[in-house]
Amino acid sequence: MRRFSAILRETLLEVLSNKVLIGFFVIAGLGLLAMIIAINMPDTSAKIARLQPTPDFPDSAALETFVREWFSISVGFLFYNSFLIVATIITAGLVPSMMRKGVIDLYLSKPISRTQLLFGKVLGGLIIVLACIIFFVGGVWLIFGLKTGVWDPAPLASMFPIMVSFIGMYGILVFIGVTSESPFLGIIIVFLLAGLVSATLANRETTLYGLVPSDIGHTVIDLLYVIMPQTSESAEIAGDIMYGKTVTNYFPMIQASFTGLLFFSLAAFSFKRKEF
Amino acid sequence: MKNGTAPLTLRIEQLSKTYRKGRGDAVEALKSFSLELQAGEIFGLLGPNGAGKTTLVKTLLGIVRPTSGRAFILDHPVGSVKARQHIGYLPENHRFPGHLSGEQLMRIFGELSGVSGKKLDARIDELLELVELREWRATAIRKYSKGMQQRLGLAQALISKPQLLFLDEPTDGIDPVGRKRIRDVLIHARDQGTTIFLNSHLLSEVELLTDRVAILNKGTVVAAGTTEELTATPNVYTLEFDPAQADAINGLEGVKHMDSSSGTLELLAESVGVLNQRIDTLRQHQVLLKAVRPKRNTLEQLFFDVIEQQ
Repeated sequence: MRRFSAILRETLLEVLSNKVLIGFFVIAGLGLLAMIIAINMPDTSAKIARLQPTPDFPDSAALETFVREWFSISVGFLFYNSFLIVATIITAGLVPSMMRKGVIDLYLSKPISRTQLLFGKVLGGLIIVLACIIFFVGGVWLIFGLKTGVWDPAPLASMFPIMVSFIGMYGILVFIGVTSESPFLGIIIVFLLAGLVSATLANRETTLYGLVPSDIGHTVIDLLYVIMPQTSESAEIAGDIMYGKTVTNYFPMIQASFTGLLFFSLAAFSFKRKEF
Repeated sequence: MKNGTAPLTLRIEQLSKTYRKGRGDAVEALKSFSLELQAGEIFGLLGPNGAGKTTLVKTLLGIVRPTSGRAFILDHPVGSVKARQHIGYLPENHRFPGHLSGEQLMRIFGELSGVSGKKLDARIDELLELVELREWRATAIRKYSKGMQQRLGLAQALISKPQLLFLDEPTDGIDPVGRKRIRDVLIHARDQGTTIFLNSHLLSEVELLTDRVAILNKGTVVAAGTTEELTATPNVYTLEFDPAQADAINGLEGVKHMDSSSGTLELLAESVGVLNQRIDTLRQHQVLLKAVRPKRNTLEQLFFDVIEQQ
């Protein structure tokens, strides 16, 4: 366990020295600052004051809706997609950097199993990504809670689909990192899968069915849709959670978890067999 | 086990490694290598680039798998976690994470090696002092010179007080002062009972440090033995005389080579009796001898001889 925690700590120190991560915290911090300024503008403050429940009108639903709308714009629209890109870039280099000549030899000579070594790196990446999500989503929640007095936990739960979506992408990223030792190839493939392929498959009835008219072709396309990361659907789930709506389809979350587990396992298998 | 007592520090039996390159192409990097190392020995593995030295070390560390043969570190199969608990390793061209300080690196690699708590604190202090990096402990490694990084590498390799230390080109690219410092550290480690497996093409370094050497070429051992055995030249003696008396030596039987300016002579003598007869002849010619000793080759001469023969 001590050896595992050492590799975890080394990973965290590596990520913390990453300029992209520092850039993220600066930009996210500025975003939160801009939000503080925005909700303290005279018009917005007046609107919040008008929506506050009073003894005559104790219903806080309108104020909660107001907060959720802000959440939807800041987290669901601005943060969700841009953060997945940033998180991919931050974590893409973790495994390939460990596998560089002159680095991997040092790690492999230590009495730690290769599986522990790889999962120390993976877990380090996940912890940092979770910290980033908590920083921004928690920050928005705190700012609105303090300003409006609405401490609705529902928007906080939107962290879950963001994290699970990332786990699916990160699994692919780690697998490509182990097999190709290239962070750039990992970034390109994940962006293609989670962006272009996912969006095209989500709209397959209007984009792909016409190109492949047969039933078998449609079945293959549907199968691809099931196994590929469903980024836009995950974003919808995050949006529904923020609005306090009941989520009826958790399949994209299950799919992302499965993809993550499958590719982490494949990466571990490949890393265990690899010679350097 | 040897004599039913302590296990050998390293036992290698017929180790071979062949790299497959696809389409049936294969490179035999290591061919049936065998070796036994006792505790406290310094062993030097020599060879030109591509001889198979690094492949051998990586096989012993479990970084690559042998095609055939087997090896044990203190009776544990190489590559196993138990075997790696007893070793330290400094790879060639190692790259430490530049964002870490020297102390952070020592702490992380110490914990990875199974050392922790106050023992680790004390070990870090002791080793940073030994490699003369104590004042640099809080500085980021990216600011270290090549020699400092090499010394830090050596310190991390020693962090768990390993019984077997593998060093791959430890003094490569280091200035003479740095090389001397590293040599001193290695001698200190040897005195503490550590067995050292030194992989190098810096022949003078190996000659200064090792008890035994092997020369590897194209994956095969072409010479092996103690440094003294390998560098000895049987039946050849070096004699030192007054250069002014060089003329008196002309015509002496058994002279292999004479340098009149420095006053040295290489004399072939099949036995000690023959040597004394020839010395008597020189004395009859009033030649004053300053020294007589068996001739020794340098490891460098031996290395070139055996590689050229290949």
